[in-house]
Amino acid sequence: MQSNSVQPLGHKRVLIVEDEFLLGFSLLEDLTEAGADVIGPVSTVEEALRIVASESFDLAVLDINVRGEMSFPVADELLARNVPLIFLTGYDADAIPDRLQRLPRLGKPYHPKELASALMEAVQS
Amino acid sequence: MIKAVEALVAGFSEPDTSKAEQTSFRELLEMLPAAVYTTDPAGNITFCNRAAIELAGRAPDIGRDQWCVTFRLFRPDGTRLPHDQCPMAIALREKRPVRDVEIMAERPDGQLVPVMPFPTPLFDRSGVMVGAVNVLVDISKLKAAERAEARRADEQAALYQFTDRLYRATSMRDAVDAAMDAIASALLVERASILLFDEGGVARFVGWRGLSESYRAAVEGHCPWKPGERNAQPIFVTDIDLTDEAETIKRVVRGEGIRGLAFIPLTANGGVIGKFMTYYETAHIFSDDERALAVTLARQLGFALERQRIETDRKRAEAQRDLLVAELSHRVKNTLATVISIARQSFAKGPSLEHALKSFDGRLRALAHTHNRLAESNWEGASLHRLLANELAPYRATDGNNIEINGPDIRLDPRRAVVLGMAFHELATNAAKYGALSSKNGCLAIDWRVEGEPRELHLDWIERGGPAVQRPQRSGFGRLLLERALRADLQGHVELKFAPGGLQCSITGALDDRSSNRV
Repeated sequence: MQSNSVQPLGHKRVLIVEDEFLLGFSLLEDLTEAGADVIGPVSTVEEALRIVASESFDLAVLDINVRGEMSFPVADELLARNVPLIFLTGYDADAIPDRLQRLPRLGKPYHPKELASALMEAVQS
Repeated sequence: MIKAVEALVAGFSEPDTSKAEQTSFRELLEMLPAAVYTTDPAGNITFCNRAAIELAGRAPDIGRDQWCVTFRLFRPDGTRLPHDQCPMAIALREKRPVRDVEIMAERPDGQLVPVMPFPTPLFDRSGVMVGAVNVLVDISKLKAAERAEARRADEQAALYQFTDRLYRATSMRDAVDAAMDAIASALLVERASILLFDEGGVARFVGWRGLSESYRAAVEGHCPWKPGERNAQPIFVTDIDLTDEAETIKRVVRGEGIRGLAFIPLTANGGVIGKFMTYYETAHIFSDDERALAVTLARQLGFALERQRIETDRKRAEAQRDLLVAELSHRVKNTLATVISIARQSFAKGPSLEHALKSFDGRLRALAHTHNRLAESNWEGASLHRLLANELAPYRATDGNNIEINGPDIRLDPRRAVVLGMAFHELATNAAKYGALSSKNGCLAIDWRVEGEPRELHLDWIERGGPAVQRPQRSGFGRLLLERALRADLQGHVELKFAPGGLQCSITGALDDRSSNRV
């Protein structure tokens, strides 16, 4: 993404939950360049739940398996607050419970363009 | 033969038979191997041959005993049969032969003999009944043969059922249960057990019948054979008291009310995997049939258990493989994503393509190094000391004095090993380009300690003697990695100090996860 491109996520607060630090780091960069205010990357479910309870967001990107723990409780909390979110999936897409199946997901590794369009879709839906 | 005896007796009962003829008939009857006796029309015994006396176990009181030469009679169902209702009494009363009746004759010594009588009334030429003759056939051998045949049929049925159940068995439990039933019904024992060697080679009860808990506890682990022993032969103990077992063992066995017992080895691929046991309250002589049957049961059970074991192993291996495939897929995807990340960081931030390629190459090599160390340990972890030594090897002076690495050698889990490996690479290349490792006088000291529970790592990277340090203008990949990513990932603190004497970096982070983690 170029810094002079339009900023589709301009000033939106985006939570990143991702335990692989370089992936979180790339997300951070991509989202920052898209104009977002990034919170995270958060690398544990516990920390994510704490932040969700105390801060407000416009959007969230969740890795499914965060240090061996599933991030579904975080997704439930975000949905309860009407925060749109997308899942990042490695090998565990079929582990997603039925109630969360309708949420958009992005397979790893993803292309920056895929990320951008998935995020736009999530914001608009 | 019965017909012949009847004809003979009929002839001799004719009134015009001479005394001399009668005498020779009697002599003839005496010599017959069949038990024969005669009565007058009232049922009084008039004659009894030697074979009849042998069968009855007594000599009749001629002229006083009526109807029977035997002591007492019973019906096959065990009820008493009074003499005046015996087949001979019926034959005389109803003036007809009685056939196809089985009775039990009791001898005075109490022994019971199954007998088939053939009482036949005798008539003279004018049709007047003059008496009767009875031929007693000892059918004990026939009865024993019938019993043996029924027994063998039962054994066959038990074996057949056992085979069928083993064929259907889907677990070791099923096989053991089927075997317990088969042992009970084929060997006619009320008490039996099956023991199998556990992973530690100790014989453990897996099935039992009629054994107390204390007995099982006392004898568990006791086995005449070692796991895997070959050519094990069954051991049949007629009477525990007659063996040279230790008195303590004898006492335990007797205390359980056991005198006779058998140890039958269970084998798989020729090696012993356990045994089955049968127990008897009294001393027990094991027949050839019992021995052969026990060995057959053991062989069947051994095959079935081996099949179940192979099946279990196969399922376990399959599950293990599925897990490994899933792990591998996860790891490969993450590694690819990481490589893409490194590429983007390297190429987006590098001042020139050549510079970017060099950085990218170095970072990939560092990642590959860490992966190699982890692969060596089957992805269980990598040594912190080894990671640092690997990364810093190219910058060591020939005397090696420019770099000091001090700390307890700890094993880092795969996730931390990868993160710290990359961090050390960034620190090392920075030191080699701008810091202490870029000049002859510079030196680098790395010290760490581990504290607390859960364990926390405190690591200090201290450069000295290099060129004067200037705070960099922009945040490069290395700094972002250390200050932002590493901090988040280790949930600790990373502090970079651009001190004039040299760069200092202190890293603090937990070494253990609260929950299990995947890489």
